[in-house]
Amino acid sequence: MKMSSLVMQAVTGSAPAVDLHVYKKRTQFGEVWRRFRRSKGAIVGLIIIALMLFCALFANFLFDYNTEVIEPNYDEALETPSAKHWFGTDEFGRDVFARVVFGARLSLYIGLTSTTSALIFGVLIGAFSGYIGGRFDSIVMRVVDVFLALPSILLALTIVAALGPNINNLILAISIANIPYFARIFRAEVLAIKDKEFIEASRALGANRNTIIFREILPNCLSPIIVQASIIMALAVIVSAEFSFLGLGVQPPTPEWGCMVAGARKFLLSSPYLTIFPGVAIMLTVLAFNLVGDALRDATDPRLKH
Amino acid sequence: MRRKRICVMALALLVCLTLSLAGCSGGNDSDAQTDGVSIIAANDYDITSFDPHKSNDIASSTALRAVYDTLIYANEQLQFEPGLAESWEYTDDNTLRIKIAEGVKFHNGTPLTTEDVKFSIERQQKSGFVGDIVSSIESIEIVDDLTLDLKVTDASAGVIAGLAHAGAAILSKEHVEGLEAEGKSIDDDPVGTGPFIYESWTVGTEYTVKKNPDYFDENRAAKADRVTVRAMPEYNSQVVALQNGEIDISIFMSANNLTEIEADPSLTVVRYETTEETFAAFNCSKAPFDNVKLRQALNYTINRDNIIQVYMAGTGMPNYGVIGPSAVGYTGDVTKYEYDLDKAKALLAEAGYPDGLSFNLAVCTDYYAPAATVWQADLKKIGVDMTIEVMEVGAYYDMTGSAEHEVALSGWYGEPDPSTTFNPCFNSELIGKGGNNFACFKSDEIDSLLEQALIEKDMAKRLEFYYEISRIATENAVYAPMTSAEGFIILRDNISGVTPDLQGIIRLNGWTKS
Repeated sequence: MKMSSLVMQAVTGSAPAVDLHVYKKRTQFGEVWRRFRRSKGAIVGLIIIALMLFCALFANFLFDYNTEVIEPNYDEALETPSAKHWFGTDEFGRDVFARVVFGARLSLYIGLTSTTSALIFGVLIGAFSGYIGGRFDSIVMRVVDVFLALPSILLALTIVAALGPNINNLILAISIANIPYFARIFRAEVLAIKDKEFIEASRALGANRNTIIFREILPNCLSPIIVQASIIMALAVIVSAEFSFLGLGVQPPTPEWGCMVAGARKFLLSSPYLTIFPGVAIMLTVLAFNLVGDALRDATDPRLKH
Repeated sequence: MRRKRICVMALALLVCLTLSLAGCSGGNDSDAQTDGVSIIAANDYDITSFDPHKSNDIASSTALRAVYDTLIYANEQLQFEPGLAESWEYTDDNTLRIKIAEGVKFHNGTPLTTEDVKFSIERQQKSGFVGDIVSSIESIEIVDDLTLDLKVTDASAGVIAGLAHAGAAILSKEHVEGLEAEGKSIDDDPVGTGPFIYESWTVGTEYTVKKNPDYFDENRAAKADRVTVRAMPEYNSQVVALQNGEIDISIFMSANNLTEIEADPSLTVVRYETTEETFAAFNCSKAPFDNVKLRQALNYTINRDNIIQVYMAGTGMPNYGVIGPSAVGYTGDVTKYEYDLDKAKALLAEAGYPDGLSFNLAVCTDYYAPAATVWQADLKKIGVDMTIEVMEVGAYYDMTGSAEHEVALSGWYGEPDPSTTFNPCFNSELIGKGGNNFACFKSDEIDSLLEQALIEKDMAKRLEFYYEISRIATENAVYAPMTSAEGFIILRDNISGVTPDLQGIIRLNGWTKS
């Protein structure tokens, strides 16, 4: 009901100047964007992500890492939020706002790198497995099944415990734990499309396997992968915070949101703001990626076009 | 629909966040079946076992001392008093004659005999947790029902201290053998002679003991009718539980919550010195820390005031020795390295590192991370780049146990007898074994002092040997000593009689509630 009235409005709004009989070409991206921005949540999510990205990219210009983020300043320890220290200071006298801003850099870095690498490997595995099929497909998918049978957090925990706690191992662990999900989704897409006429046509034109996979199949199967990526991104931010909270990720004095929450937990009664600010930062980031992912899924679903 | 789901999700996230932060605790049926005085205490972790031979931690010691007795009793000042043993004396260099008290009965009614004592000690010797404490006892000869002779390899004071350890609790032979024959363990039905009778234990949650009305020693008889000790790992929730009366006592409180507690008129803080010391230990067995100048240089970078402020919320005290100041065998007469970055820099250059160096600090759990972070910032000022690696306990001891660490940061608690305090940390035979010889420092002088101290019977002379070890260790700067912690017990204002011993072990028998 609501949806159709919106469409009506859009149509009548643009009616006077345009001849309705002229075919207006829209790119696929334009179409998705048009549908995407209808969701208020998606816009809120995008704004939050833009804000976090801004913090991450320009953290260096906002604060000096050495003097403001990691160097202790014992005279100003445990101050409540004020004009000088927006989010207060921790037990070392370090500015919590500066640390939260730098934390955005780390969280997004961990999230982006782990999601991207999981995506690349997952898509490659899914594409070849789905396209080649047969025994190769069965073997690869059974291996993927083994990984899927383990809860991804447990798998990541095992990897970090075995390799030792630091940022690179954390990224490695999160990406390995998420590769099976991408592989599964992409393989399903490939299976659905690989016998379509346009693939056959390109095969008839003499395209080899790699050309077909990368030039024909990949561009046509991207949307579910992008949706999945935004969800995994949210998950990666949470997992990196969780692992750092448990002391399995980022090591002090590096500002990481989960690390900050863990360190501030003992001041929960006396200085609750120490846990609230990094906690809210984690929550907002995860929420933003979920909102965007949700809206993207709807926007790319052709069945929900109008 | 979708929007609603997102709202719900956001709400759920918020709730999860608050809940996980608040660390809420359930189970509020505290006053269910009370007859007489019932006291509920909280500890930060649960006990390991009611079997004295299957644990060796402070929480379990408290429970064991409630249900069982030892032959010899170490009081709060860690002085030895008669326990189940009425008297003890060395009849010759290798024979300790013990007379046990008459008329002592186990909780199930059977009388205590020397058979039970022999059985308990022999069972303890097979234990991986506490077996080494009585390893110097070669054989046990029963003279009569109330007298027995312990044949020992060396007649040191360490034997007496060992018999006062909670691991040397006396079990009922008949009862334990009966349980084991049925394929059960002591945890199914712990029976001792102690001031309290076991009532229940929910693993990971809480245990309850009730008063033993027929306890043999009036002075140490239980005052409360029933005591429950609950495991509450989150200190914040312990404070909240204290404030709303859900618990009466917090056995082990973090210094970070003292401000809130002191502001509450219904709560009292009992402060006590502990035998603990927090220190960083250099691995002297391999480069670069086999260089004494380098170790001394880094010793001058320990800013104890800042460590106390950040790591212990302003409580505790600076320490320069190798064990806590209230531990037996402590001496303050050691080489002291006061915070002095200029000296540190000069020594660093002398040691061959004018441009600084970088190394890795293994930290035993995030409890010690604040102390490590303070040190890291000070090291940075003289060009030393230290990375911190926070490890969980098992991984940490694996590392120190194989002497693979560069520098390791953790704490060490003194024992009633200095031999068990010093030997694990300084005996060169234990380098790379067990993980407590953190400094891996090989010194024939220390080894010979340890040996002499072990066989010396005169306590004053023994202590001199241990003082000398402290002096050699600090002279060689094998540790970077930091601080010693204070302990905090929090009581609601109607509770009294809670006093810890110097090791921080608390006995339940004196507790009363008005």
